[in-house]
Amino acid sequence: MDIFLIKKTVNNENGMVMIFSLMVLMILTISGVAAINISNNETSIVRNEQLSSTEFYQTESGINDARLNFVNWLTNTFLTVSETTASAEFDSLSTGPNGPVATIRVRCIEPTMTPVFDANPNTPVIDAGSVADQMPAMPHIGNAPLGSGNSVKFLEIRRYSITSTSTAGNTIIQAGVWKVFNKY
Amino acid sequence: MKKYFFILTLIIMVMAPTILLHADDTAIYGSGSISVEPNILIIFDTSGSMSIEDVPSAYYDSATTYSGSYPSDAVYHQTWVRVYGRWRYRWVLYADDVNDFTCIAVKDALKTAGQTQGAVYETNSGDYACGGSNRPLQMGNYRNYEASVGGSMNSRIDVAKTVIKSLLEDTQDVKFGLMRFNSNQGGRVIKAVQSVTGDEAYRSELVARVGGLTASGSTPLAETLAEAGLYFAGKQSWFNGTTSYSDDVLTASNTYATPMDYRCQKNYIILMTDGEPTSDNDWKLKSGTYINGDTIGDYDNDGNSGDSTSDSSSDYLDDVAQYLYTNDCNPELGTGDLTFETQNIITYTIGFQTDQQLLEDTAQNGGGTYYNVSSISGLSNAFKTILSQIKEVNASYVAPVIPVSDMNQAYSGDFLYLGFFMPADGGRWLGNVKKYGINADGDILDANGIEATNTNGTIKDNALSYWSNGADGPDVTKGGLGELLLDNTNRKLYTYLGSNTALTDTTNLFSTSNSDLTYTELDVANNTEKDNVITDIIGLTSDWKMGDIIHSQPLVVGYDTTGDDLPDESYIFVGTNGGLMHAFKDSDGSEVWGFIPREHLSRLKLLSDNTQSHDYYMDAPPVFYDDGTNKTLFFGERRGGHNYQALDITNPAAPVYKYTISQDILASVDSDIDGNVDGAGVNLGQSWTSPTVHKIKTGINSYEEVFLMAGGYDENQDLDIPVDHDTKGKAVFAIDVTDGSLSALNFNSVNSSMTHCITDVMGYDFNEDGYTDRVYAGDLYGNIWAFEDEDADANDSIIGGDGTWSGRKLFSNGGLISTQRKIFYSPDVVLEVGEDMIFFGTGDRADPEETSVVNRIYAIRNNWEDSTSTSFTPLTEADLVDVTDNLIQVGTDVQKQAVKTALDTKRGWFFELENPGEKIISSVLVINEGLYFTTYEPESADAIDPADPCGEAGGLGIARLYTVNYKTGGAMQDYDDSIEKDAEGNIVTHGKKDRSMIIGTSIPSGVVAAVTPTGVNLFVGIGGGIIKVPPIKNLNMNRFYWRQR
Repeated sequence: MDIFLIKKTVNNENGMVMIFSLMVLMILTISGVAAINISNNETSIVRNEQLSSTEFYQTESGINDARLNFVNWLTNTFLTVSETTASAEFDSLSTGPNGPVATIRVRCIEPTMTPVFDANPNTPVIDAGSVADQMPAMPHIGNAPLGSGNSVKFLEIRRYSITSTSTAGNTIIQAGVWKVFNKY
Repeated sequence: MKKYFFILTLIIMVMAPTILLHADDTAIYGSGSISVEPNILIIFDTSGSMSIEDVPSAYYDSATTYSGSYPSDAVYHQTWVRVYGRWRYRWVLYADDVNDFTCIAVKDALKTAGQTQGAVYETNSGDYACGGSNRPLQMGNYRNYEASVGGSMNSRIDVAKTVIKSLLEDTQDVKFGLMRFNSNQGGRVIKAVQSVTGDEAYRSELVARVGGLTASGSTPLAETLAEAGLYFAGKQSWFNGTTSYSDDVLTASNTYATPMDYRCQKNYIILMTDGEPTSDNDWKLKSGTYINGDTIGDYDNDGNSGDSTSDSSSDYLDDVAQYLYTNDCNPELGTGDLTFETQNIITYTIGFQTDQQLLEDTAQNGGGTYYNVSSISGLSNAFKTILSQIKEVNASYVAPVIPVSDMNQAYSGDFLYLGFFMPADGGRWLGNVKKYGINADGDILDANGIEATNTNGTIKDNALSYWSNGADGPDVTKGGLGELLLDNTNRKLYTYLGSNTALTDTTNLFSTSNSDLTYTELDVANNTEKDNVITDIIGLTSDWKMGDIIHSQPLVVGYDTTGDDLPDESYIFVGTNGGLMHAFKDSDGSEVWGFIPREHLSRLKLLSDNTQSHDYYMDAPPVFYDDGTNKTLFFGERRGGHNYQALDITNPAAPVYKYTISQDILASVDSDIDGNVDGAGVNLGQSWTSPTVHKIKTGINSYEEVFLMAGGYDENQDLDIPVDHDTKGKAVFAIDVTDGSLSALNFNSVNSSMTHCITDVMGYDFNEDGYTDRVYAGDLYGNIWAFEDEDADANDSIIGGDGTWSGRKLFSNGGLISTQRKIFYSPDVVLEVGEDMIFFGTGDRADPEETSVVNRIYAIRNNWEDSTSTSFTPLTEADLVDVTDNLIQVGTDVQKQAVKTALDTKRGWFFELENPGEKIISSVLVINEGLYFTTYEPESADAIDPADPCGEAGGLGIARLYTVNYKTGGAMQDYDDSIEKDAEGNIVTHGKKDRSMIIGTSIPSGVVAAVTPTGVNLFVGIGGGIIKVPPIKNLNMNRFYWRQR
C-alpha cells in the first residue's frame, strides 16, 4: 500500500467542510427538536396544572357554596331523622361553561360510619362516593369547639361533612363544618 | 298593769320588724293604678256634606219593630272573620233569639238599648248564660234601625252635635279638646284639651262651641290629623297662623302649647268624619319636616299616599296616624331614665254615614279601633265605647318563651308564647298566655301578619294575638288563652288524692261532686265552705279565671297523633298562681285539664280571702322529659311550696300521677358514709329549681336519665340580715326521671362544706360521650361550686366517668352577711383550651329594690387543677382582674397592655355594676364571643318628683342590656351615643359606656337566643312587651377540618 496515498487520502480535507456542516446541522436539528419536545411537554404540564387547579378551585367553590348557602340543603331531614339517613347529593350552585362546576355530597358526621354514598362499599375502589363516606368518627351533636365563645349551657353544635367532587371527577375535597343550634 | 301593757307594746314593736316579710320581686309593681286624666281631642268633621239630611232623627226605640233584612230578635256579635286573607272585625250572627239568653242583665240591656257589651256564653243546652268573654252585641232590630232610611231625617251635623254635646256633658275624669276643619287647608284647634271635671265653665264653653259649628268646605282629613299631632307635640303650626281665625287657640308665635302635662298621661284623637278626604294633598304631608325632624310620606309603606283622585284627595291619613302612634311625640317629657318614656298618640276613627278602608287602616295604624255608624244611636254608642276603652287601659308584664320548633328539633319555632300577669286588688292577680308569630328576621307578628310590637318592644295597643276574637293588644284580660278559658264551661280539674294514679279517675276530680274531696282536705269548716272554694277555683261566675304567670313559663310540647313520628299537635303546659298547672291544646287554645297538687288543696281558700297579700301556687316553670315513648311533666312551686310533682303526660288528655319529690328526699340517705343518715339538715328549700334532663353514669357501664336539681330557696334569705347559715336548700343532686329516686349525684351540707342555699344548677357533657360529667352551681352567699365525674385513675381502661363525683367550692366572692352578692342563676360555660370559662352575675332576685350591694358580673377560668385534691383553696376576687374601668378600651397604652397581661395570667375578670342597686337577676348567655346579660336598676325614691303623679305607678325601674367581650369584659357594640375618648385622647367607638343600653322598664328576662335558618335572634322580655336584639354577627357554618383526596 502506498503510504503516500494513505497519507494523501488522510490528509485530504476536501469536502470536510460539508461533512462538518452537516454534522453541525444535525446537532442543531436534534437539539431543536428536543427543545420543541421539551417545550411541548412543559406546555402540557402547565396545561395540566392549570386544569387541575381550575378543577381544584371549582371543587373548593362547591364547598364554599354548600357552606354559605346551607339553607338550601339543611332541611328538616338533617335535623330530625337518624343521622345515617340524613344525606344530600346535589349540584353546586356555581356554574361554569359546562354546567355546575361540582357535585356536592353532605351528610351528618357520626361516631360510627355507615356507607351512604358508596355504591359498592365492599370493593376497595376510591371514588367520589367512597370519599364522601370517609369521615372522622365524632358525635354529630356536641359542644361548641374550644375557643369559639359559645355557651354549652344553652347551645349545642351539629357537625356535617361536605364532600365536593369536580364535574370531571378528578378532584375531591371534603370539609367538616359545624353550626350552632339551640339546645333541645 | 299599765307597766305591763307598756312593756308588751314595746316587745311587740321590737318584734315586728323580725316578722318575715315576703319582699319578693313582685314588690316593684307597686300600687298599680295611676289617676292621670287622659287627653282626648275630638276632630269634628265640618265639611259641607255634614249638612246632608239623611240621619233618622229618632234614637233607637226598643218598642218599635224596624223593618229590614235582619230578624228582629236575633243577636249579632262583633268578631274577627277572615276577609280576603286578613282578619277583619265584623258583625256576625251570634244567637237566633234574644229570649234564649238566661243571662238576665245582658238580655235586659239588649232588649232596652238594642245593643250592649256583655259577657255571655252558649251552654250545652243551647241557651246563653252569664260568663265567658266580653263581646259587643247587637239585636237584629237595632241593626235594622241602623240601616233604615225614610221617616223624619236630620242633618248629619245636627246629629253629631247632639251626640257630642251630650257626651261632653256626661263624661268625667278625662280632658277634652275640640278641633274642626279649615275650609280646605288642614284644621284648627278651637278648644284646647283641658279637664272638664270640676271646671263646669269650661265644659259649658266646649258644649257651646260644638253648638256653634256649621258645615261648609272640604274634608282635609290627613292635614287636620297632622295639625292635631303638632298641637299635641307643642310644635309650630303647619296650616294656621298665616290665615288667622278668631276661634283658633294658636298664639301669636304660631307655636302650640302642648296639652301633655305628665309622662304617664295617655293621648287620644277621635276622628269623626262623614266623607273621603278632599283637598288633602298639601306638600308638607309628603316632604314637610314633622314633629321629630323627619317626614311623613308613605310612613306605613303600604304603597298608598299622595294624589289618588282628581279632587286632590290623598291617602296620607293612615300614614299620619302611624307616625303619631309609633313616635315619641314629646321627647322632652319622660326621659330614658324614667318609666313612661314614650308619649305617643292613639287615633280612633268613626265613619259616620261612610264606610272606608282608609279609616279602618287609620285606626289599625294608629293603635285604635274603627267604627262605622249611620244613626244617632250608633254614633252615640261608638263614642261611649271608645271612652270606656280609653278609661280601662292597664299595664302588663311578660316573659318570652320561644319553643324549639316541633318540625325540626334544632331551629326555633315560628311562634312566641308570652306569659302575662297583672297586679290586682285582693292579692288574686290576673294572668294570661298569648301567642304571636315570629318570622325569619325575628319580627314578632300578630295573627294578621302585621308587626305586633312597637320599636320600643311594647305590644301595640291593637295587636291581634292568636286565639283572640278581638284586637287585644297588651291587655292581660283580653284575648289569649285566658279569654278562651272564660268560655269553657266544662273544665276538667284534677287533684291527686292517693287512691288512683289516673287523674281522670272520679276519685281525683276537683269538683263539688267528688265525695273523696272532703272539707278537711281543703282545711275549711264545712261542706258549704268547701263548695264555695271549689266553685271559686273553677270560676264559672268569675270575671277572669286564669291566675297570674310570674315566674312560671308556658312549656310547649309536640305530640304525634298520626303515627308518622312528626309532631302535629302541641300542648301548652303552664303553672299559675291561681293554684293550677294548666294544659292547653295549641291548635284551638282550649283547656284540656288543670291539676292541683294535694298539698295545695288546704291553701286554696287563701285565694278568696280578702287580704291584699299575693299568694303563690304553681310559680315555677315546668319542664318535660321524653324517652321516646313516654312523656313526663315535672314542675316545682317556687314561692308556692317545697315540692316537685311529676305527671305522666304521654296521653295529654289523660294525665297520670307519677311521683312527688318532697322536702326530705335527701334526709334518709347516708351520703358521707358515716353510718348515720344525713337527717333534716339537708332538707330542701322552696322548690325554685327548673331542672334539666341529663344522662349520668351510675357505674362504669350503667347510667340513669336524671333531673339535675338544686336544693332550693331558704326563706332565711328574705331577712335583711339573714342568719349566718341557711338551714334548707343546701344541695345539688340528681333524681331518676322514671321514679323520682335519688341518683348518683348528691352533694349537700353533710358531705361538703355547703352553708347556703342553691337555687339553680347546670351541667354539661364535656367529653361528648353522651353522659353529663361537669356540673356548676352558685349559692346565695356568692360561692360557686364545681362538680366532676372524672375517672381519676389514668391507667385503667375506663373512658370518661364512672358515677363517682368529686366536688369543691371553686370561688367565693367574699360578700358579707348583710351585703351578700347572691348568685341566683347557674353559670353559663364556654370551653377554652385546657379550661372552662364560666360566667355568672349577682343580684337579689327576691328583693330587687335593695340598693346597698354593689353587684358584679364574673368570668372565671376553671382549669380543674387538683380536681381530686382536698387542699384546693377556692379562688377569690384577688385572683381575678377588676375591669370595672374598662382600661383595655379606654386606658393609656401602658394600661391597656397591663390589663392584657393580667387577663392572660389571672384566673378571670369581673366588673361592678355601678348604677345604684343595679343587679343581674336572670341567666347570662355567651354566644359568638359575646357575653349578653340584662340588669335591673330599681327606680330610686329620690328620682321621683313628689308632685309627679306618674311616680305612683311604683317606679318600675330600669332594664338594661349588656353586651361585652367574653374574654375581656370590653364593649362590643356602640350602644352609647356620646363620644368617648381613651386616656391617650383617641376617640373610641367601644368605650366603657358602650357596654350597656337601656331597653325598657321593670325586671327584664334573660336574653333568649333563637336560632332560625337564616341566623340567630336574641329576645328580651321587658315591661309590657318584648324586644329583639340584633346579634353581633350571624351564626353560619364554621369549618373545622379540610382534606383533599
